[in-house]
Amino acid sequence: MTNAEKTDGRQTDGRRRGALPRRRRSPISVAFVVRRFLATVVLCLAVTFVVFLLSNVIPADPASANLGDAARSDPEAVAAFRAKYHLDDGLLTQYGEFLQRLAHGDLGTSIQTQQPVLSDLADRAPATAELAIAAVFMAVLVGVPLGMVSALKRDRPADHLLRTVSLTGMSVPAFWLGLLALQLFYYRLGWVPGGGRLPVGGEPPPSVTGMYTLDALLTGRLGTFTDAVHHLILPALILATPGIALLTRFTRAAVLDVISEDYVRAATAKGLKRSTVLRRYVLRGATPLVITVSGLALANVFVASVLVEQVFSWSGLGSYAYQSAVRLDFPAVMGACLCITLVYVTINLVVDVLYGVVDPRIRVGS
Amino acid sequence: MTPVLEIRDLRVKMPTPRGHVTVVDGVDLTAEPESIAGIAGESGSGKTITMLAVLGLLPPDAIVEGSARLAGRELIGLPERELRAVRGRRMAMIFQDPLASLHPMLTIGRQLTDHMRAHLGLGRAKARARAVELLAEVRLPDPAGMLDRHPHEFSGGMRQRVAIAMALACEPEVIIGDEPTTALDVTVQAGILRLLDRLRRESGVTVVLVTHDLGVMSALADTLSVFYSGRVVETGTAGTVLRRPRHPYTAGLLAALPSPEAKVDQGVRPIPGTPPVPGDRPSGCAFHPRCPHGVDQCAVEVPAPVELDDRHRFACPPDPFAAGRTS
Ligand SMILES: Nc1ncnc2c1ncn2[C@@H]1O[C@H](COP(=O)(O)OP(=O)(O)O)[C@@H](O)[C@H]1O
Ligand SMILES: [Mg+2]
Repeated sequence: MTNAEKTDGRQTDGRRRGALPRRRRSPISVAFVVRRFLATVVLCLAVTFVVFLLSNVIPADPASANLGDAARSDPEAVAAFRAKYHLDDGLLTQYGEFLQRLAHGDLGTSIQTQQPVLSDLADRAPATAELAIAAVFMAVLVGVPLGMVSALKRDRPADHLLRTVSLTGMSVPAFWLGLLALQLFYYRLGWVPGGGRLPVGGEPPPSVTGMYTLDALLTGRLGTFTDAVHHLILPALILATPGIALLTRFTRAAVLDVISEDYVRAATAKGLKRSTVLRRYVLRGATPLVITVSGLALANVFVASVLVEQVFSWSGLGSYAYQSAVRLDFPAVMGACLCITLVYVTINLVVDVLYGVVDPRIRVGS
Repeated sequence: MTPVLEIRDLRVKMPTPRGHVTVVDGVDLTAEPESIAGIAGESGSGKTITMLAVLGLLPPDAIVEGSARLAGRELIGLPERELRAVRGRRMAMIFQDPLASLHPMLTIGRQLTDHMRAHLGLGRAKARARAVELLAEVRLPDPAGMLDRHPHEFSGGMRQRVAIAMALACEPEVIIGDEPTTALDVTVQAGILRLLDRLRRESGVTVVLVTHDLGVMSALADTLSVFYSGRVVETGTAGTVLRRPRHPYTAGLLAALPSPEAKVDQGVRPIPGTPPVPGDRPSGCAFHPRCPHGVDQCAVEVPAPVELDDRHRFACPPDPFAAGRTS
């Protein structure tokens, strides 16, 4: 998906001496930003349309999913419900209306919360952001060193172990792992809380970013901070697991690739310490791949959060998407999908831009 | 004069899927102070492996035996920590491909200063100031402006000058140039070689210069050693070896060269056959299947080198080019 392109760098030597090549360009061009923006708009339209179609062809009835038992058997109540959410209009009419409202920044009203979907999403986004950021940090901080160890101990027991474990880690569904972990660490051992973002009745810190750990730190509430971290650790670790596995495997491959490069031998020939060579030359050479895979891991975290947040009663976008889907709360489902699409697009954009930052040979979007 | 670099009976076995294979088989090599010691030989003859072995840069599963002394001090078998103090500091290496041997994502300044800071304990500012001096010394334009740029912004010739500056940085006694011009355009090759020659004269560094280019050898090198299949088949002063080669392989190299250096009257023609692969080296003199002067004995015995008065040594008992003999 990357738009980045490598400039070859093997220039001819015919160039006049004394004429220096041009200064390095900024890694991003205006054309690139415009192109990306248009692509994003098209992608969002496509996503909303598909989700819209899907939610209308499934043989389930939002009215019966959302109305109480009494109302469900009352034809008038059902009719009123259907009228309120325009369920009886034609498909295209409904979609047209959706787009019209979308153009004004209105995602409609959630059936279950009775709140504007946009404000629901805004309320819940920080919780997911906090979880996702923590998970990706864990994935990078654990996965990259493990991958490095695996590469340096190539074909030795440590490598075999890491490769087996990481392959397993990549294939295990995160929500299932989450259930197991809760069973063990909460019910059996009691090391972690059973879910939620704070203890029952705990008061959230004053909202700055909406992420409890960060806000607690910023406002100096250390007790709240400890509580929030305590609640964050297990779900973040569960979400990080596939990412750790992915990064271990890809870092191993990247390091093995880079370590046989001439520039690594040249650095060793300069008399640098092995640790310096590994850190400055090998790891640096592996960063483009690590960035790509971290982006992938982050995107995967958002997908996995739909079930994992549900398991950990984490009131973020994931559990919102899950609950909207089971309740056939179409406006909310659309909003959540749109939101996840934008997150995906943003992650890709950031990965591409970072490419240009870490590798000077690449001019993004050229 | 005591040699700066003295390699004696160096043997290297490299790991391959079919076990260890001898790729360097008893190499002797001597470099006098402030000289250019030339090394020639077809590719695959073990030149690079020899140089890497001296600096301890071969993979750990390579087997290295014999001796390599830098100013009298044995390098083979030295612990990694002590080797590190030699590498880049007392003996530096310039590699064949300057694009591949510079890190594409690190600035020239960073790559030019990191070993200075490690070896000489210079601070950032001092190291950068010295880097600018070095870039000027290798005749690069706008040295100060280069520091914050990356290798891909420069041409191959300029990159090789950067690599030479890196090699010079800690004022080593020996610089090993492993085919430093092979990857470059012909138009800039001469400039790089002249630079090495000037540095040798100005800073008194000893240069071990690996190149296929016998023309370069006759112009620059003081001594010349000819490698064939992991052995030195002939060595001596460059003038003697090039004008009066005694080994048929050297003679063949010269004959294959459309150059006035070829004094042996054989006309211009390539050596027939192909160089042996290390795992499948012919018995006796490895050159015998391709040699027009071979005798039965050549296929049986590894020839012992014969040393003449003027330190001219060669390993060819039949000695077809001995004075007074015609071949
Ligand atoms: N890493 C390696 N493992 C096994 N064999 C090698 C390795 N590197 C080089 N060789 C073998 O060693 C021989 C000498 O190589 P080298 O020293 O690079 O030759 P050259 O004279 O061209 O520099 C070659 O025939 C090559 O096949
Ligand atoms: Mg070589």
